[in-house]
Amino acid sequence: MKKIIIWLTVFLITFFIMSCEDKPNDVDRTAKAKFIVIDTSGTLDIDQKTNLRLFKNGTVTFFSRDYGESFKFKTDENGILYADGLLASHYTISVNHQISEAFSVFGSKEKDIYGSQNEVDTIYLRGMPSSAVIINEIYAAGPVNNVYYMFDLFVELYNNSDEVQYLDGNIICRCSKKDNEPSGIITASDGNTYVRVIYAFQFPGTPGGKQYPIQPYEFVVVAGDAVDHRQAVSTSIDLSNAQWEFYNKQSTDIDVPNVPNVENILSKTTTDFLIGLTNDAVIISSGKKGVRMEGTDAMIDLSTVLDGVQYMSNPIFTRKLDGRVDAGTAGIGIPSYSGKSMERVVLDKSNPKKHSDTNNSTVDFGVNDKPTPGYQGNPIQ
Amino acid sequence: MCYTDIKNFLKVIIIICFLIINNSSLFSQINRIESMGNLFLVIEDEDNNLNLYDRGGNSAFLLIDEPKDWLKINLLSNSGNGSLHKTYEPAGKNNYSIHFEALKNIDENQTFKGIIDYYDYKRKDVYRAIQTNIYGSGPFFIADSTTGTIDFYGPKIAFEYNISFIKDLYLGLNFSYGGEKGIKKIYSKPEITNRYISGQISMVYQLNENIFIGAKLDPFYNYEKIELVKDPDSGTDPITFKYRGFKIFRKSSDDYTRHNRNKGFDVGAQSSYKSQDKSLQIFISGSYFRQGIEYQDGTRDIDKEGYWQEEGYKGTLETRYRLDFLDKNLLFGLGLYYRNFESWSKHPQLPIIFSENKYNSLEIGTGFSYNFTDIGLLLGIEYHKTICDSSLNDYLGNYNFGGSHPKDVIRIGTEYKVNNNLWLRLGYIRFSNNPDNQLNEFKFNHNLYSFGASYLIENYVKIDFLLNYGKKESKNLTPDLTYKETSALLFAKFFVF
Repeated sequence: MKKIIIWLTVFLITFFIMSCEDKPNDVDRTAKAKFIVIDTSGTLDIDQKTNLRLFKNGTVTFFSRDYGESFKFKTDENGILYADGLLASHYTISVNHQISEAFSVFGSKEKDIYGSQNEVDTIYLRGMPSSAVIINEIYAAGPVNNVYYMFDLFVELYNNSDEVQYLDGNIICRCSKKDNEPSGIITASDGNTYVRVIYAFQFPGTPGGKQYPIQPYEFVVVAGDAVDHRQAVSTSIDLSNAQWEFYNKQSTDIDVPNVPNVENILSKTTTDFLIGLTNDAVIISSGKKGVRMEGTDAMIDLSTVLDGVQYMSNPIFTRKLDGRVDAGTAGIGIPSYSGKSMERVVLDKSNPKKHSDTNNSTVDFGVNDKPTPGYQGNPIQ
Repeated sequence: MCYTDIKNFLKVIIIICFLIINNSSLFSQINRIESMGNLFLVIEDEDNNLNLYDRGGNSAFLLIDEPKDWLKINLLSNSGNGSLHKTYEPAGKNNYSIHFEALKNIDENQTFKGIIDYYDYKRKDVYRAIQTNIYGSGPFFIADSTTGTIDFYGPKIAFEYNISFIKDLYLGLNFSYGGEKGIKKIYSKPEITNRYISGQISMVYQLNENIFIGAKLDPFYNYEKIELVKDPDSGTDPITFKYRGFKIFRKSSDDYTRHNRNKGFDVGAQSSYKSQDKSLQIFISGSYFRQGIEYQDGTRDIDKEGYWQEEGYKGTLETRYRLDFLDKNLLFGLGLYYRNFESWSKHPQLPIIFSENKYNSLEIGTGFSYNFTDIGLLLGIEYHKTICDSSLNDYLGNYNFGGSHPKDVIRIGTEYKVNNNLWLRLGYIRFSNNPDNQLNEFKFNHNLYSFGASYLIENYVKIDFLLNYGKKESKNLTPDLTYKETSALLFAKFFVF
C-alpha cells in the first residue's frame, strides 16, 4: 500500500506542476504592419524624392484566410501603407489597380502579421493585360450521392467587360505540377515561363478570330457532358442547355449532338475533361502560342494565360498555380460530393455586372450551395 | 421482518423505481437533505456535517467522519424536456445511472472507500454542438450543421484511502477514473471519447478536541477526443464549424479529430470548529484553482487550435448555531461563499490573447430549522442571495459585455417521523435568475418540488426514495419558454454486509 501511495503522490504532483502557462500581454485585433508599394511595370509615375514608382493613395486589401475577413487600407502620399487593428493571422495582401480597360498593375504578398511590426515590408507591382474573359464558376465536387457520380462538372466563362470578346482558339487546361517544383509555373528550356498542363481542350477557330463571340457580361457554360445529369442522379443538375461541351475523340466520351465541342488537343490524353473534386487548378489561354511540348510534358506560355483558378477544399494541399496567375485559393471548405460550386463574387455592389478579378481567388471567389450554370448566384465567402 | 420480506420489499421498490424511470435534478448522495428542499445549512445529518469531509471533501478526514462500515446502492432516473435552454444546450435529456459505494474501516487507523458507477445520459435535440461541454469552458469549440441526440454512457471507478501514522495527524488519498463515450445519432455522427482522471492528496491535523485543520491538493486531467469521419453511405466529408469564441468560426470539410486536453488543480486549506456542547459549528475554507485546456486538431498531423486557462480563488464560511438560550430545538445557519475567477484564451502559436473573462460572486445564505420533537416534525427554511458580476472581452470577435446576474433562492423543507422506521419528507425550492439585459441570458424562475421517504429495516438496511419535479419558466418573454424536469432515486444503505 505504501508503494501505491508513493506512486500516486508522484503522479498527482506531476499534474500539479504541468498545468500552467504564462498569460501573453498583447490582445488580438491590434496588429500593425507597414508596407511600401512599388510599381515595377514602369506604368506609374516616378517619385522625384525616391526615384521609385510609388503606388500613392491606392487601395491595398488584406485577406485573412484563417477567418475569411478582409481589411482595406490606403497608401499615403509617399506610397506607404500603415495597417492597424488587424487580427493576428496569415494574410494575403493584394493590390489590383486598373490603369485602363486593357491593363492593370497588380501584386500580392503572403505574410504572418501579429503584434506591432515596425520594419517596412515591400509589395512590388507588376503589369498585366486585363482579361475580359474570365473563369466565373467551377463545379467539380459532384452531386450528393453514394455512387461516386461526378460527371456533371462544368466550367463557366464570363465576359467581364462591356465589349464583345471572342473565344476562337482559346484553350481550357487542367494544370499539373511535378513533385520537385514549387508550383506548376516553370521556366522551360527556351527560357520562357510556362504553366504545366495535363489536359488542353481548345475552342474551334483560330486565336484572334471572330467566329465565336461572347457578348458583354454574358455567361458561357462548358459542360463535361451537356446532358441532364438528373436522369443519372436525382440530386445532380441539368446541363443540357450548356453552350459548349468538352469532348475527347480518344475516349469513350459522349458527344451530344447540336452542342459544339471544346476538343482535346493532346495526343496523350485519353479521358474526358475530368478535374479534381476538391483540389485542382484550371486556366484559360488565348491559344496564341498553342501548347509547347517537351517530351511528354505539355505547357502553356504564361503570357497567353487569360485567367486561372486554383481551388482546394483545404489550403494545406499543394498548389499548382502561384501569384503570377492566382495568388489565392477558391473552393475552401467544399467537400467532395456536396453539390457545391465556387463562383466569383461581386465586390462592388454598385456595379453588379462587374465580377471580382484581382488575380486572387481567395478574394474573388465564394461558395454556392448549388451550382448556377449560365447565371450568377449568391456565393458566400 | 424476515429476510424474505425484506427481499420482496426491495424488489417492489426497485420495480416502482424503474416504472417511474423518467426523471430529475443532479444525483446527490445526501438524499435526505435533497428531499427537504436541499436545506444544507440548517439540517443536521450524518452526511451533512460542517466538517472537513462533508464540506471540504478532504479524504484525510474520512476516518473520523465515517466510523462504521456500510454499502450504498443508488438507482437514478432523470429526464427533462423544454424550450428554455441556451442555444447549444439539449432540448431534453434522459439519464439513468446505477451507483455502488462501499466503505470499510480496515483497522482503527485506516479506512477505504470504493465507488463504481455506470450511466447512460441521452442529450436530446442538441443544436449543432458536438462536444461534451460548450458553456463554462474555453472558447474553442466545434459544431456541425445538424440538430440531433447525443448518447453519452460510461463507467466510473473511484477509491478513497485514509490513514493515520501519527496521533492526531491523518493523511488522505483519492483517485477517480471515468471513461465516457458519446455518439450523435445522425450524420455527421461524431464520436466523442472522454477520459476523466482526478485525485487528491490531503492531510488533517487535530489541534484539540474542537478544532481540525486540513489542506488538500486536487489535480485532474480530462481528455476529450471528437472524431469526425466521412459518411460511409455517401462518401461525403463532414462539414464542421470550428469556433474561436461565439462570433468567429471557420468551416472545415475534412474528416479530422479534435483533441481537448484539460489539466488543472485546486489547492486549499480548511478548518472546522465544534464547540464542546456541539451547539456551535463553524467551517471555513479557502482555495486557489487553476486549469488549462489545450485544443488540437488532426488525425495524422496534429495542429494546435488554441489554449485556454482559468484561475481563481474560492472562499467559504459556514456556521450553525443551536440557540440553546431560546430553545434547544432551534438551529440557525449562515453561509458566505466567495468566488473570483479569471480566464483567457490565446492564439495557438502566437503570444496573442483572443479573449478574457472575469467572474466574481458572493453568495450569502441564512435560515433556521425547528424540531418539534414531541410530534416528530422537523421544519426548515433558507434564503440565499447571490451577487454575481461577469465580463467578457472577445478581442478576436470584436465583442464584449459586462453585467451582473443576481440570483435568489428560497428553500423550504420538512420531515415527519411516522414511527421509528419510517420518515416522510417534502421540499420546495424557488430559484430566480435575473441577469442584466445586456448579458443576453434568460431571466427565469425555477420551482422545484421534492418528496422523499426513508424506511429503516431492523437497523441494518435503510431504504430511501426520492422524487423531484421541477419547472423553469422564462420571464418577460413572448411566447413563454419552459423546461420541465423530473427525477426518481432509489437508495439503499446497508450498515452490515
